[in-house]
Amino acid sequence: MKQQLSALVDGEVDVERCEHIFLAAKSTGEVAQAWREYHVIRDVMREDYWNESDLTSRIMANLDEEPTVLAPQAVSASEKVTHIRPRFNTYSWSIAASVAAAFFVGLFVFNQPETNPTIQIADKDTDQYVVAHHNYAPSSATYYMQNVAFNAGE
Amino acid sequence: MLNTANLEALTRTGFVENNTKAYTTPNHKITQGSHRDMTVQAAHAKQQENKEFDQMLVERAQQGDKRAFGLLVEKYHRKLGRLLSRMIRDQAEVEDVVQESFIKAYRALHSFRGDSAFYTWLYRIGINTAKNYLVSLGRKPQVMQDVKLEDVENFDEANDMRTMETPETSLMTKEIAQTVNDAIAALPDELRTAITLRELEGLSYEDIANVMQCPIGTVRSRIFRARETIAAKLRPLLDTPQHKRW
Amino acid sequence: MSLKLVFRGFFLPALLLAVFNQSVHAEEDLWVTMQKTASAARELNYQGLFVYHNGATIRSVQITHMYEGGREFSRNVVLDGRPREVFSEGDDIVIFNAKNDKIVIEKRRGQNLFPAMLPTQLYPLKQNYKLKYIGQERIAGRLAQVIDMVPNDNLRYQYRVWSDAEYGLLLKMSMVDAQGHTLEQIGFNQVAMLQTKDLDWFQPKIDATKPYVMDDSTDLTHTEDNLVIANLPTGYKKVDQIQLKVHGKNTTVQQLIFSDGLASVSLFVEPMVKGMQARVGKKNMGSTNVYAHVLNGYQLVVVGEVPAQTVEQIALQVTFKK
Repeated sequence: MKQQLSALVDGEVDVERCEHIFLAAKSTGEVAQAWREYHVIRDVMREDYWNESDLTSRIMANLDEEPTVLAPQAVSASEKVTHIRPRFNTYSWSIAASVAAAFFVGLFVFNQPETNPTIQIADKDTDQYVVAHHNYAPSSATYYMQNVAFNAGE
Repeated sequence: MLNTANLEALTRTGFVENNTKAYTTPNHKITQGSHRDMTVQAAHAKQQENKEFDQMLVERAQQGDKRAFGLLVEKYHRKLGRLLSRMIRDQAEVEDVVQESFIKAYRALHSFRGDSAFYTWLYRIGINTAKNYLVSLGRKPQVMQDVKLEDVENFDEANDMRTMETPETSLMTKEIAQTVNDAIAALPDELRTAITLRELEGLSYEDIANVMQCPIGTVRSRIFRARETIAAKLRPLLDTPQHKRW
Repeated sequence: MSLKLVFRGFFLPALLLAVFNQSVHAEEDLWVTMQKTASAARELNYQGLFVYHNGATIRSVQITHMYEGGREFSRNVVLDGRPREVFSEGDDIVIFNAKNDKIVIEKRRGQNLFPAMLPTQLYPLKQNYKLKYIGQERIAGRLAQVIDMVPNDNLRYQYRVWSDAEYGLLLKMSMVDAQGHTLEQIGFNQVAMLQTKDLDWFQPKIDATKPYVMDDSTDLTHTEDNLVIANLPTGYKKVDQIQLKVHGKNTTVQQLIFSDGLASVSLFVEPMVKGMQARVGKKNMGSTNVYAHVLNGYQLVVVGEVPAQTVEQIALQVTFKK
């Protein structure tokens, strides 16, 4: 994940495929830490470095008290969002809801050819059909049953 | 190993001249004046690398995601602070102005259309905030009496403002900068080359791959490893209690 | 006097008897309870641990669910088997699935995950099942109403529902075959109302050392090609259709999903290509029945948690549009 963040920071990751990196960078943990570290390194190298402190946390603490900004839906350059969700606006939800909102905004399909193996519905046996049924059909106590290799090609 | 057709690019990074350092430290900058000009200008042109992601962060923030804005804060607050330090001497005051600038930017976010880069928009706000701050205190900006915004935008090494001494920074700050510089110097050649071409020359991975005659995946990996190596040395300095994550 | 006595003597007990027979558990009331149960899973804030049993398979899942400001969020962490975190917001689902050295992110639409097993629109259930009140029982420290969903025919299995007597939350549910064998069961071991109003829990435990990849093996845009017509058994309707990529081939497999409101069945349609072994026949895997069939150069496979005759009927009644 951190290597992906490194590429993202260099603009080498397709913005449409960075949802998970984005989410990780916003939470607490190694990836978030890396976001900071990589930018400190960049700032030092580019001579933009200044005054290490906890200014970011202070600014964010202040922002907590700001009413959450809501702009009319901006049209993004690569608009493949198939789901425009109605926004809501309550103070106590600013951070929490934004985590969720950011997570699910932009539920769309990727068409990138990747070399990762896909679900193998082979003509070997019916197990793969069963797995696919358990994964995609609506009623799914059986979802939890999966212990079969999802990608049999691994 | 290195494509000699790209000698020019390599020269600019100082590889041919100086094998031990691929970049200049603040101490050296004045003596290498004209050489740096070219480098920095080229870098400026190419440091649009993050326009798309910045734009995405802005859009998310506009949709209510404050943490997305937080990533922008973390990314740009030092750069903005350094800029404003040219106008305001006292670091504590600069911090206040930086903070106020970000709050103002956040409040005005709905009006940001993405015509310019986020950082460009942000530092206009920053400069105005700083000016207003000084005016309210009855002070004039240190150096920039009637300086125009374009001058600030075209700001580079050659500009007069640079000759002003770097503002007083804490020991911590100096130590961090030194640690990073030392760590870079200590990197294996190929890692140092990669990260230098990226951060100083502003080259894309593809261009770096051409220069270094290696696959793009290798470029990606080298830059990542360079960052992680430096970060490992940086971490203990950043991990003091006042630096808890927001 | 005698008339009055007669009245008292006769009508009163008869009246009482009538009241008992009519019972507080009139079917209408039971449907009201079911409706409450269907909504509760989505509208309440709770957390707990539930266990899924299916034959020898047992899975424990930790769940946190919240409904606030018109939005529904949940996080399920599968504790056994492969580590997996399932997040849902409304109808969108994102799954972080740890596979070997990478974490695969999958996006889904609209699954009814426990305890939101019942659809919010009960109409189809009313067509296919009758309700019967069984009694009360304690589950996970809570008092539950136990209600059976008895199928109107043998094209679907029977279900038993344990619904929290106070809040209506589905506490447990089991699926039973015509012989009365429990095929699978899912229920809370512990459950409590959620105290927090924050969404801090709504994030995956990220392993920063592993790469994260999107799973693009499924095209979740719902296709509408009416190439396939399935003459469906009573009570089943098509609810979705998606495409799956086939590893190593250029073909895609269509997955049509049918449901009677509760039980679901998938029909897979795959063009036969050279070298592909045709599969024909049936298979039972505990709660799941499978039927495979070939038609006009297509391999059809039907899979569902329904009786064998249902999957067979669906498979054999597929036709293709000209």
